[in-house]
Amino acid sequence: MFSWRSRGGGFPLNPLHREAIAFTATVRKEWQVMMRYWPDTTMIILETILMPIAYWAQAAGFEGGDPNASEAFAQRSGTTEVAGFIYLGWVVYMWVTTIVWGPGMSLRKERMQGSLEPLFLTPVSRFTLLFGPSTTQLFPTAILFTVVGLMMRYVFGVPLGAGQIIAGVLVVAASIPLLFGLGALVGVSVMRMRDSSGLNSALRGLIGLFCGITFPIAVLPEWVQPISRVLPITQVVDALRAAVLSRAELAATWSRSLILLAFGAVISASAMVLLELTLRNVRRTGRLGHF
Amino acid sequence: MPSAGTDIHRASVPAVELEELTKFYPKRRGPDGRPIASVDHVSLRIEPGEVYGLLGPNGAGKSTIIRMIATLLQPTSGHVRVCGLDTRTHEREVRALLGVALGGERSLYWKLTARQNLEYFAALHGHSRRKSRARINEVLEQMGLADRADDHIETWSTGMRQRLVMARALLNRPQLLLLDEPSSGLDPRAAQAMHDHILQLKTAGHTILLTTHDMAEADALSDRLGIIDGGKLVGEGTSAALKRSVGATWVVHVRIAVPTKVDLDLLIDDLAHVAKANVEPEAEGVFALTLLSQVSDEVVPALFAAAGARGATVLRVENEPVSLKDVFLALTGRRLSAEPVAP
Repeated sequence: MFSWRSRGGGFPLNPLHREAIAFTATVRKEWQVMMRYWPDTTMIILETILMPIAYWAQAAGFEGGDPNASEAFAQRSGTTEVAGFIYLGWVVYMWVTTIVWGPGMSLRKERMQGSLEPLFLTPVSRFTLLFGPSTTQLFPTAILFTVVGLMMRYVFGVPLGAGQIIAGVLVVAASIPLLFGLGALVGVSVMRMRDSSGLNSALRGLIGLFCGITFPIAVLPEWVQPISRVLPITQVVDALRAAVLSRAELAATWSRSLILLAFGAVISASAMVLLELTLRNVRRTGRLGHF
Repeated sequence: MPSAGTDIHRASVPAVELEELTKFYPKRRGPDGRPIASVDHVSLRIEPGEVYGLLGPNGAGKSTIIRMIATLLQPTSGHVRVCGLDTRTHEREVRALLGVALGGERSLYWKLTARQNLEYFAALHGHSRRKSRARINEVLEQMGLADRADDHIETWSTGMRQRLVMARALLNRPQLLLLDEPSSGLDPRAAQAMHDHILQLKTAGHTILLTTHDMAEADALSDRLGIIDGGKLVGEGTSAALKRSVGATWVVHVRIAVPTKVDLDLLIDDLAHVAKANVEPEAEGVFALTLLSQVSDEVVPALFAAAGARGATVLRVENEPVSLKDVFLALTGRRLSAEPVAP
């Protein structure tokens, strides 16, 4: 029979079980808030559908029906599917946006509203605080990718077979730790800032420019291209396009997925270390509860 | 070394023990560039079952002390022990013993219901929704919030949200409750309701450390008080003992216009046989006198006689028993206000 800890008694469960309960509760709490603001999520999905149409129309306008232009695009991007190319880049961009500017900012938001101190007084782990909120975002993200797949297949006629879909899901799944880690890293970095909106805008712009979201990286200046290629978001976009549009071998998709997982592990671990260092600092300076 | 989970052992040690506790914030410096201590060698003990009030103006160091006890802030030097456990070496165990109400109503999730808020925090302590249901109902009932438990708290009043913060602090059946300015921002009625709840917790045997700059609140709720000013503990004891330490039972607050400073000094000399005077200038030729006396009936006639003799005009007189306000004035030479103390 359950009993609350008697005064001064120990915790009733083993740490893993306790953490699982805390993690689930964090996901549920974010879900409850998200459901109160479901129009926001709907708008993100609409933006993900509509914006690429504008980029696609722009590309079609510049191409002007010239077969040489299509050929040039194929040489630079590895595919003739302009709509698919743009949609896959854009859906990753939107995923990054929702993670980094949603759950990624959650610690900062907690600090701003004054709930960070009560959170740190509980035995919840840094892992749950950093990655619990992002997990809730997986549901709208799944809708996002599904809608984009439907648009590509049924509106723009991009050929998508079971093989491409499975390969795409594999890449997306392998990217989850990377995206979560990136959100956490940015989230911890901005904890000390009074206003992070400028940084947010700058990051969005840099990702849009350097990660080949709506255009092939090959059009960037030559000295920029190697930098762009090693950026984690570029890796995700490239791997997804290769798996879905270029019909890459399954082995190649696996190896790219492993690279993404490795990136994710390193970035997530860095975020946890940075959070620990930040917490030590704010415990000394007293800024945990101040904003 | 004391260990967690032994109530019998803890009964013999103080609930809280501060030993030469000191905190310097890295960037807090005076006009001369020297670091200023936010908490300056504070030592005190709080016994189990006691309600201890830390009274002082904003910026005096009260919240810093409470945060150091809660392990949210690292002391620069000195020790904090909770139920015999040093916060430096037993941080996790200490946190398990605490119920902390910090940050006021902002520290809740306004987009959730009261129940969802409590379920979330119960889960962070490792208790599933199913298993925490009874306890959540209990604390909601205890704080008088059960009938609104499933409302989103954004629709609640400040007082109700403050009580929910308290309910959250009680969730884990803490050994020690830390309440930082529990009635801050509340209207008088909501503040009174909050006081009633704190008194119920006191009756139930909780050990409570509360901070406040409200003397009436400190007086009404605390078994013992610590008066803190400029980071230093300047006085400590029961309310009655602190009032006795002033050396008077009555205080007369006077606003008086005096032709010259010399006349004022002579007037004070005239009153010396009935009262001890504290003077604060208010405006050109106008002063606030605080007269501390053992004999209430003789002070006012003596005041008017002296004023007549020195050409002074008494603008206002108020006669009242000695309060904590007077204790603070006697200990620090300043009136207690909510305004922060300048460094």
